[in-house]
Amino acid sequence: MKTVLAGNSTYLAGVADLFEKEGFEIKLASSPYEARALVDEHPVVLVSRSEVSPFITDSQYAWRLIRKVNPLETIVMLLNKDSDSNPYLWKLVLERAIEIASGKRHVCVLCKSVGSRMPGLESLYHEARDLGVSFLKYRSVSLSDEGYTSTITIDDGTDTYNITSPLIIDCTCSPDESVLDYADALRLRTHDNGKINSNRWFLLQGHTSRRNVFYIDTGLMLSLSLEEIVNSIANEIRSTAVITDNTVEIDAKKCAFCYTCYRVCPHGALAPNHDAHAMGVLKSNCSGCGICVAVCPANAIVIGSASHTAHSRSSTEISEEVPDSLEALQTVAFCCENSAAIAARTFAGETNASIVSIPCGGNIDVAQVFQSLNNYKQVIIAVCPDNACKHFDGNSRARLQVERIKKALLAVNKDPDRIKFVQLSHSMPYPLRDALN
Amino acid sequence: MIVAEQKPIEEIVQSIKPYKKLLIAACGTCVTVCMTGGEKEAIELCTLLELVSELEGIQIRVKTIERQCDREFFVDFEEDIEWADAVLSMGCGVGVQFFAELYPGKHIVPALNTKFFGVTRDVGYWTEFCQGCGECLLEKTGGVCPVARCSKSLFNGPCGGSSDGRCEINPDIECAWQIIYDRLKAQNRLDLLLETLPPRDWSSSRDGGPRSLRKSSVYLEVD
Amino acid sequence: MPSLENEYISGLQRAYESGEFVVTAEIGPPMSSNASHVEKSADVLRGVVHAANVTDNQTSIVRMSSLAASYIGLTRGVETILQMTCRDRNRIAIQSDLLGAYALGLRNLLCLSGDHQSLGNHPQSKNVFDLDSIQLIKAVADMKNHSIFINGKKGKNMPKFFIGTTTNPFADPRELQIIRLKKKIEAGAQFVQTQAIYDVDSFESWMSEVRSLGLHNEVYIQAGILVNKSLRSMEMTKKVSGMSIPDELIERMRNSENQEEEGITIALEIIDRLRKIEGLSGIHIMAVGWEKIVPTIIERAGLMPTFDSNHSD
Repeated sequence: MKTVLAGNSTYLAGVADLFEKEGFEIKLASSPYEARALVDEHPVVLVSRSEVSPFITDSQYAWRLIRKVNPLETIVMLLNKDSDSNPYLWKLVLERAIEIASGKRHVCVLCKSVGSRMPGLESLYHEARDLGVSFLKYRSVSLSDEGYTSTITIDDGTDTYNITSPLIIDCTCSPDESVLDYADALRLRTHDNGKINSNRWFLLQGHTSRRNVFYIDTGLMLSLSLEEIVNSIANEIRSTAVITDNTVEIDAKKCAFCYTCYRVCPHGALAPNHDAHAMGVLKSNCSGCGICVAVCPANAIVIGSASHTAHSRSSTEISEEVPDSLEALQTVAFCCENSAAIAARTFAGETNASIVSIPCGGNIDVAQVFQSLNNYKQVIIAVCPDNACKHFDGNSRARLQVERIKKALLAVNKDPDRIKFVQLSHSMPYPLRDALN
Repeated sequence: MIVAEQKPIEEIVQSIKPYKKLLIAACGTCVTVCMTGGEKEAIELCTLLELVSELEGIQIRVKTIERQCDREFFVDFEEDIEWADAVLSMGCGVGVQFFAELYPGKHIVPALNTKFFGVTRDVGYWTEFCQGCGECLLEKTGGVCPVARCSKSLFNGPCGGSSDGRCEINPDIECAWQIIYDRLKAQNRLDLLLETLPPRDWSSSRDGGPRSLRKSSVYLEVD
Repeated sequence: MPSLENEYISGLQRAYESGEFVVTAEIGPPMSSNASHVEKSADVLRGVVHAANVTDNQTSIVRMSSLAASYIGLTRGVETILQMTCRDRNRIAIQSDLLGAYALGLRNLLCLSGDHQSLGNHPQSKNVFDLDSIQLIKAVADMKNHSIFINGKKGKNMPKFFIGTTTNPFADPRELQIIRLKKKIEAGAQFVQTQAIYDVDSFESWMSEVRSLGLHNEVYIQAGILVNKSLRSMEMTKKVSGMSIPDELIERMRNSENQEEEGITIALEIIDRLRKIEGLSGIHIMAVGWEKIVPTIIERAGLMPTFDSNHSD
């Protein structure tokens, strides 16, 4: 098995050894350009090292400091002062905050956005809250030292106030800038606006927005050792060699070669085929979200072997008892299979609405929605909450389409409220249920 | 690429109201790429029109003509064109007119407003680059066209309304002369701007009347 | 009433050439066909300024034509400066207007690109910009110096205007704006009026750049002065693209109990500082909506012209 290593050269050798022990043949990419040239053929592992506040990483030192603080005084953890923090730093901060708060200390976390919605961190956040950790949102802060204590001035947009504490822990994480060029070349994305920025949400240990691109941050090792991370990536590379059929297909005859799909694909799964003068699909990257299907202006893309109807449908009906007469149905809900469709199963027997599972909110087929408005009284589009789309912006795309459909309905004198937009996670069926009733 | 946008749906409804059998003709070229008149948009428009109560009973067919500016691409659709009372062309202004010329007895209705020649800046975002004025001077302006991209088509530098690189008429518009200046400065070629360009001969543009072009090495005149 | 003979030379040009510190102001034509409005404006300025600009559908709002209003002004004994923009006329109309204007006795011409029509009251209109302001200056200079039209053909009795233009020391990109001023001078501009100056320090640095290029020896430079009647008027002015007003002046206006007087004081202070700048040949006072204050300003600045009626020699 051949794999490409790229990134900060200082740390590549050690990682390369570990992959070779796993039985991989390693090629080192010397530049972002080379990594981009190789990524269509081989998996790429991007290696870097972020600098994290020593306090956060070294808890022995942390405890020595904290013991010196009067137990009645608040310990302030200042997060994302210089740049937004990635989920990893959030995880570190939450874990430390819990550790400190468990020792009966008052902890206050200052942050630019409260992290309850941080994917995968909900339980840590709630644990911290239960232990009395307070979270304060700010827009800007300034620090001043007065001998033993420091005062932090916080502006949250409406008010300015001060917190004094003998120990302010600056939790800023300094990213390894060299990795950003690679990330750019490899078309990795963030939640923000599709661009790589200092926010770097793609940096989840072992994972990125592209299926065959992996990430190791040797500066952000947590409970796992480097060996364990390499092992898990190795296993994943082995397993993704098996391609599922849940991928898209492009009709080269219809393709206008406009690059729209190439630009929107969150997984870098489309690559131009210049011989065919059409776009091609990298099956190993495609996760079948169908965002490209929805945006393709030539209607040239379908998911899997879905039947080619005039209104090429990419979705599959999962409601088990579809009545013969559609007139009996009041409502149809197009539900993202990652959230709303799962949530809908919990009340499947209680509703006579038709639940249509779609691979992602970004896959909404507007023509199908218009058709549904002919057959149903109400159409619901139910997608993942903000920042929780596994395909990054499918939910935002769905919102834009709903706005457009509402405008069109208004323009032809139809009630725009016949289409509703709902966001929910797979574990909270109520918003969808309420919308259905 | 020719960039167009769809007409307001109210306007389209008004113009097709008299007809019972409508052919929606998408065009597979520029307007597909600018996400306005391709097959996807045509099908969406069709399904939306089916919702309109004023149009009840209308029959609609959707077909995609690869290029509405070349006659050979129409051949496969003669039966559909024959069938329809009217054609709602989703081509640019060129496509609509050529359709009307090829089928002079047919009512041809435009679905789009044709806007400009431009580039794709981002998915769903296009900007104007060229006006087809017939005499290109881009070698003198660092590859930025003052005719198309300066609001006043000034030839010898910016007006006094350029501020922070933005045009006085709208901060969304970049000052073309700021771009020209920045680019030439970076290339160390500001001396190009010292030359005063004389009044343009606009007869090569639309001002010389509708234009045509015959490539002498290919075009055989038939009596 | 000046002579309509072709030999008559611009009084403004003579004032410049004799080294006087030149003062001009503005006549804004009305949004009507009422000649007496222009006459009243002219009466206020007669004997007070060397000449008065007559704006050409300023800010793209339809008004009486600059040509007609300039003539009316002239008949009331005020030397006028015909403003001509490239926005509304192609080269045929421009040259035809120039012939007509000269025949009516107008001798001063200010060449401008013109505000874009989308900023005015007919944003639906089509613009022309057949020429740009530099090409216009060149065309007028060619008429004067070579007796030719834009097409290169010889003409008879061609107009010999005293040619002016404008420049904005605060617009971007600065280096290119200076290049542009140079090109205007090369094209034949003889005097130049600047955008309104509030930030004298910044203007001084612009002037030193102009002096280092020797441009002040090739063209008469007149600094623009805008007189604000109120805080609101000053704030509106600040919003205009390419206009720079120091916050300190806005604060002074805000804190003043008599904003009209404060507006005058500020204008006088600016004039006072400007007069000390080397290479400056005059000032151009704009008192949009407050024209009757102009004589007061000029008198209090000690700039009353020495002539009593401008063309009676």
